[in-house]
Amino acid sequence: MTLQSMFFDNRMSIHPRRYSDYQMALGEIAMGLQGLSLTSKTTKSISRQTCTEIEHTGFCYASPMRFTKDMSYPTGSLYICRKEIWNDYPLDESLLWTEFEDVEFGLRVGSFGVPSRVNPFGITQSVTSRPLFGFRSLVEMANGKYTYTKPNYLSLMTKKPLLQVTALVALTKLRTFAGKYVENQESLNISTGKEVVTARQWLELVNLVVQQSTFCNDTDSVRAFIDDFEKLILLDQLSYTSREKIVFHFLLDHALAKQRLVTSSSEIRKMLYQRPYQSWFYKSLGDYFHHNWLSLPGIGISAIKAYNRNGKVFYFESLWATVKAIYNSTPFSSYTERLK
Amino acid sequence: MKIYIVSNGLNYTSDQFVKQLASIKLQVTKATPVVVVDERHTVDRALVEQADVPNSAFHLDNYLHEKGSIYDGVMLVDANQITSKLSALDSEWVVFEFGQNYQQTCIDFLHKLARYNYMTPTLRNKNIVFSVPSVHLDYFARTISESFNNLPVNSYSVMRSGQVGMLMISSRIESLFFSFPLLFKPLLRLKRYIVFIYRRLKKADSSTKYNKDQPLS
Repeated sequence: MTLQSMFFDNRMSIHPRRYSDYQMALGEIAMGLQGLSLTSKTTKSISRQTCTEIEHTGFCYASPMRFTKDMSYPTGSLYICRKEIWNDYPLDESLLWTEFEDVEFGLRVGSFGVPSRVNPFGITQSVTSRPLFGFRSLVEMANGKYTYTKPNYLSLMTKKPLLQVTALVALTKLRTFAGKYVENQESLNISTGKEVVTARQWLELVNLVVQQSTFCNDTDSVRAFIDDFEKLILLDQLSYTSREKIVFHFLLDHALAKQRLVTSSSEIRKMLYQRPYQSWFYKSLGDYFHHNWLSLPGIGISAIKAYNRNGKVFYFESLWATVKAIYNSTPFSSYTERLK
Repeated sequence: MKIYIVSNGLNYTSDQFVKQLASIKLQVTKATPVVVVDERHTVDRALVEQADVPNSAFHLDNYLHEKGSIYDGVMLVDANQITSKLSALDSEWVVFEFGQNYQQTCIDFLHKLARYNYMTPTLRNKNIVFSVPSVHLDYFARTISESFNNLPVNSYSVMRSGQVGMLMISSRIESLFFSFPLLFKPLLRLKRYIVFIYRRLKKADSSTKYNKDQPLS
């Protein structure tokens, strides 16, 4: 069992969206493609080799009021279950995080007759979010039709930081990347003392470093370069599809592939939709927690809006329950530990 | 992998070349090193007397399509010949003699070899020598360095391209597009109808044309 999950981009509790709680597959997993299981000599549709194809399956947020046995699963964020069930049906240890281990678990357990459900009377709130999911995503409504949930791109409010690193750490990581790939590092001015870096400054710097990098053009070097790009520059997960596309592009026209690596990356585009001007990095961890009193009107407005569309993106039993649920799950800044 | 490009104006055998090139110390770089050796370079007599360095020498003609494949006046190289010949490689040094082949055929070979190297690890810890006509030495050297490496672009070109500016503007326009679906949906639907009608008309037109061409019976 799991609970509905809500995420606010800002610290005023306005513009809620669904975030990683209960999802369903829109079709056959990996379109029938099979890969080898690492632990046993069998083939499975969810394995490390088929990750790209699993992404193409299509997933959407499932409605807490509906149940499709072989399609829905709780995302790996929160599991509430009896100990016996967990011991009898553990997670597949051969799959790592982001290798669709939650999909495999939910569908396998479902096939053994253990249904995955959402408790519609409870709710959780996510304090942080992964930028990869900050895009318009499909939601199944209680009536079986589909709608979307997405962050408000046009909101002018100060938002939570996008990436869970400080500007200093991000710049140090960029320097590490430059040290590995740029031959003439004197031509780059990567300051490591800057505390605020705007989105544009960051992108210009990152684009320059990537364009000035030098490496061999073979599969191993390109894969290592993509791994470092993901770890030290993107600071978020690169989807399997994008990774495959980049490797193909380097085979077909590597000069063009490197030139467009940053500016045509869908991951960077998604980040830019969410924070077009504001810095992507945090100054202190307090940037993630909601204002104590200022967020109260926001909670009221969000509750009315969510209840007005009840059964579409979220489901609540009554308006008062909505207000209570959002208020009780809000991570207020007073909950954080303060230095005395 | 180390790459040497040698002018074939020097009348030395591949063994003599390889022996001399093997004694050169290269700078450590982040990319595949490409070394150009022209006619001014002479083989050291002392080296000539030393033991041979084992190498495999190939002529570019061995890699052309058996029945001869020509596209736009250029003899094309068979990519499968590259795979079958190089998979049986057992020496550390590989020499490719370009002879008097047409420049575009040589470029085709280089691109196909680079693509082979991208996908297969056989050549990655080998030393490759290209023996080319001295006229094309610099041009081939540049092409080889570009095809086997990802080279840096200078900061002025990056700045002048204005890529980031375009990315900022286009992402703003796209986010507007996503934020006002009521405004943009009718436009999308209209576009879909127009494209649908256009395709139907085109199909109808082409089918009538086809009927006209049919002989009357």
